[in-house]
Amino acid sequence: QEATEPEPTTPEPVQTPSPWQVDTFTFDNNGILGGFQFVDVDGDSAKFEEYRTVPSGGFVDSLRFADTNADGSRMFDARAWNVGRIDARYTLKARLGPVSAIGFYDQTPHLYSVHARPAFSSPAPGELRVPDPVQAAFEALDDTSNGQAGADNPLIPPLGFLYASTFPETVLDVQRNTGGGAANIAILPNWNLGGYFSDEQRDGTKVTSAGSYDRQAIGGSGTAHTGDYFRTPDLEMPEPVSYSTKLYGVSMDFSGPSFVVEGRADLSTFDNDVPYLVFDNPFRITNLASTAFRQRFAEGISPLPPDNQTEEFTFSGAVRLPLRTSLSGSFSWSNWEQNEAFAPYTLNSAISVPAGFDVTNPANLPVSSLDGKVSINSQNVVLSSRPVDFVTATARFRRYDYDDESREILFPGYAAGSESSWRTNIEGEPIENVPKDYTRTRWGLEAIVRPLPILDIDASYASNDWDRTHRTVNENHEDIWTIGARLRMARSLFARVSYAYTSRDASIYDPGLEFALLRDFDVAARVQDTYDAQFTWSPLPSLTLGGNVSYVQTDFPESPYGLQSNEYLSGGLDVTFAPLPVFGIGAFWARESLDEFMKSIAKDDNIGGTNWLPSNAWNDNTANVINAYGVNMFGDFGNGFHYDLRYSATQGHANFDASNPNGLPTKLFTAIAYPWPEITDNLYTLRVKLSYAVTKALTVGVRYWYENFQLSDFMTDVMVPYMFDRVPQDLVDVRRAYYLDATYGSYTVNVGTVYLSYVF
Amino acid sequence: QGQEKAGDTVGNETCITCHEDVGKRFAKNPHVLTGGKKPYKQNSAECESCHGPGAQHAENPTKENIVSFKSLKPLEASEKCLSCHRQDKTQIHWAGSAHAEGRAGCTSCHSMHGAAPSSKALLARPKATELCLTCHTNLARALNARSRHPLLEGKMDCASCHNPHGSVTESLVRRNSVNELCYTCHAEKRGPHLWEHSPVKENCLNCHNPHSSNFESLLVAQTSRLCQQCHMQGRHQTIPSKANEPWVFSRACMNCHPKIHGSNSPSGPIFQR
Repeated sequence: QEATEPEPTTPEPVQTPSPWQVDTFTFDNNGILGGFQFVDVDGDSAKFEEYRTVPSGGFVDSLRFADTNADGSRMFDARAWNVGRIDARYTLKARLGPVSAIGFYDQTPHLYSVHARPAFSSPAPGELRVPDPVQAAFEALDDTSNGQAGADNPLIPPLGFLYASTFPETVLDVQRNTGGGAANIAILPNWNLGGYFSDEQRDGTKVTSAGSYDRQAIGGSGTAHTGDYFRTPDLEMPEPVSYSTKLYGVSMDFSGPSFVVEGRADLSTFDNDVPYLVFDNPFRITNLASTAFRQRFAEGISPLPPDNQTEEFTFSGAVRLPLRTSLSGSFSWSNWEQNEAFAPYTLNSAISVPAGFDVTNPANLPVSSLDGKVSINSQNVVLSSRPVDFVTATARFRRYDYDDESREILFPGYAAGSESSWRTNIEGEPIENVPKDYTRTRWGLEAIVRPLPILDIDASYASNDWDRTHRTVNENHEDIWTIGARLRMARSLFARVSYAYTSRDASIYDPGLEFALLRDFDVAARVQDTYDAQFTWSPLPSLTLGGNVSYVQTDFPESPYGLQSNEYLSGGLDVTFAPLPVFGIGAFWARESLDEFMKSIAKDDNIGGTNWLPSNAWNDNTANVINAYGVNMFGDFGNGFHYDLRYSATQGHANFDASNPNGLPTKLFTAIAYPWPEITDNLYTLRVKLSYAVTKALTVGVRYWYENFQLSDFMTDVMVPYMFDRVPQDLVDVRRAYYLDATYGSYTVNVGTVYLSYVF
Repeated sequence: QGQEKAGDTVGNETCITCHEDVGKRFAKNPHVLTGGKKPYKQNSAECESCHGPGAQHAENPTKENIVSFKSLKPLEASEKCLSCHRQDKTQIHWAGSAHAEGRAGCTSCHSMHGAAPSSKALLARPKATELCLTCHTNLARALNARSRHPLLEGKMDCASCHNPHGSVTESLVRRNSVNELCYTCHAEKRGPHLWEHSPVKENCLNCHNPHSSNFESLLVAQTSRLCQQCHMQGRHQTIPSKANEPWVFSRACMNCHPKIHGSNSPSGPIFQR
């Protein structure tokens, strides 16, 4: 019998919206919300619409149509958001007897730039060509008559800018469209068969880069050598994206009064329609063969992400044992495969190689593909017991084994220096890939004691071991000791504090080709103190306060160089006060900071008999902060009028403080530590909404949305399509580069909306 | 209080006599719309399935005479829910997990009566991200950061990456490892590649902060400083540099080493191609 249940007549509990609350709307019942909006963007619309589209004109924001019978054995629920836009989402849930299913189609844009200036055209997928006149013009600007790349020619920068300014503005974006579905069938009581499928297509272009190496020594060789200069090191391109990722899976689960088990198989395939990127070098129309310089290329080649796939089989289960004991586990086996055909070493025929060896012919590769294989085994077991009310004990074991079984290949050499020369070794080591494996084993014990009904005290120990091959540290052991307490006074107050001490040891360090005193932070010995606290307090039913803070201090005591220490702080406060069903206010504040201290030493290239002079040492302190806060208020004026105001601000900044601890280097000018400008990014958002309930079903409203984003980042602000610069630090070092100018910038946006919602 | 009271059951009709609002809302509750399943002792969802026999409460309607979830501690409330949901495969890894054992409880996140009908899984807040941030308030900074995932747009939520009911991995990550999770959406970085960058292959979080960053691509630090923390082999890797140098601005080290996630080029041993 079909249900004709009346909609609830009682109001839903008051939900105080937070200032940062996601401003998407979902109908609790059948309905439609749409309207018209006017959008004014001043500045970089690419950042504003990074993951969304906000066009002027008519829109349908939300749509829902659903129905069900009395016991839910027949139901459907169709929903849509952002209908007809490139950031739309559509879902359909349905159930018919023992079969339930869901289907979805989701569109997510990723907009990188609306003002990129590519010099390239793309006559075929994966092929980027620069018109010959442009290449010729840029090449002509490369005046090497005095060995300094035209540094003394005042015409070169303006000419370069002029050429670059003729490239048309282009949008760089990748659209991710995913469709899929899942179904579950109750084939027998307590037996369920499930399956899912999804197909994600990503299409568009994003920014990639490539070096076009060109380097000369300054001052000659030996002790006269004081540095190098580079002429054309950088090149940006629009990389084609044409990816397809498909996921398939089947599962079967069986449960009883005290257990549940599940077996599943998952398959994931990734296909890239464009295996290689072949591109013209804007700075060269011909390959340049030279003994004095690197052999610069006119046409480069760079492989794009290779096709690959994984299969995974998982068996999981949990069983309830006597004495309120639970045993759960999960075991999985997966295989990864990748066997994309290799590209040739290079297309640069000017590279000097042994006679008769054609580096541009892929037939001269030792093998045609990697035959890449990885097998992963994962085992996880947890035993948790609460034999008496005041004690819980938990034991955990976990092992994750990543085994790379890919083929090891010895290459006779490679096109080094961004396809500018042939190199047969790297610092004496052969050109051979070395598949790397690692195994991580973790076990731990935890006890929770409840001496009082309102108090929990917990203590735990965990052991973490890494066993790797071909890393600078192959074995790590880590001990983690944690103590904590939780206080809970009914539902009005909850507070939690904890402290963890972590000590990680490292086996013998083998830096390989790196400086012997350098330690990689992810494998180096470290000591870590972690403090956590959290509380929620509701002194009144209408008032809730919440907050948490986490502070982590990490030191790397065995690292003479590299990352020395970092301090991480993350905290937040949230207050909501809703004294009436028709009125509420709220506020929040949150902050994250990461301070990192590192040491390095500028390499002196064996000048004077040593590479590593204390006078060339430098340190860096980076302070990185994100600070966010906001307030909101909502309520009713009465007579059907409702208002909702939200303001939030997010302010980020990064400060860099580099210094020479042993004084200003006098011999190696590249060792001088200079201050870097601060990076700042601030986002201010104001949303005001006023609505009027014309009838119980019909609501009309207006909305104003203001957003201001301010970005100052020296890493991107200095970039223009054609860059030609004498670097003050070097005086003789002259560089030029070609960029897409596809960086994000500041913007101010005003959006006015008139909308109507109708519940049917 | 919190313990089931001995005595007779009275049936829904009696409860609704006083709790009319709750009764009406409950008609569309998933506990009622079970699709024909009969997981309850009484064959249908009765108030007393969760609140225990109500005869004493009907006679003397105090909180002490009924199982009131508002009065239960999370551990006790969760036990009530798990008496049925323990058989659910989504709860396989609940025991011993980060939210279990009273750290949080089912009713900390799910509202049996108060959830909006449209909310997924009877969440106490309309959206999962909002709910998580009620305790993890520090993460509110992430939603509007310069570099972030598309949570504000509703394309992801916290549960896209974390399973609040427990997982086999730290931080309740949904997959067997952080990298396997990231590859779900970023399969192009999965490989295996001919030339692998070890820290990348072992843990994406060595370089990326998935929640928020002041730097592009969710990097934990400025690109060249991040690379310099582990690289001192060549001269150019070791210079502190001025801000206007090509190994500092734009993509910094990746201006020339763009294949930092792994290269499949025979000429890519140092990730230039």
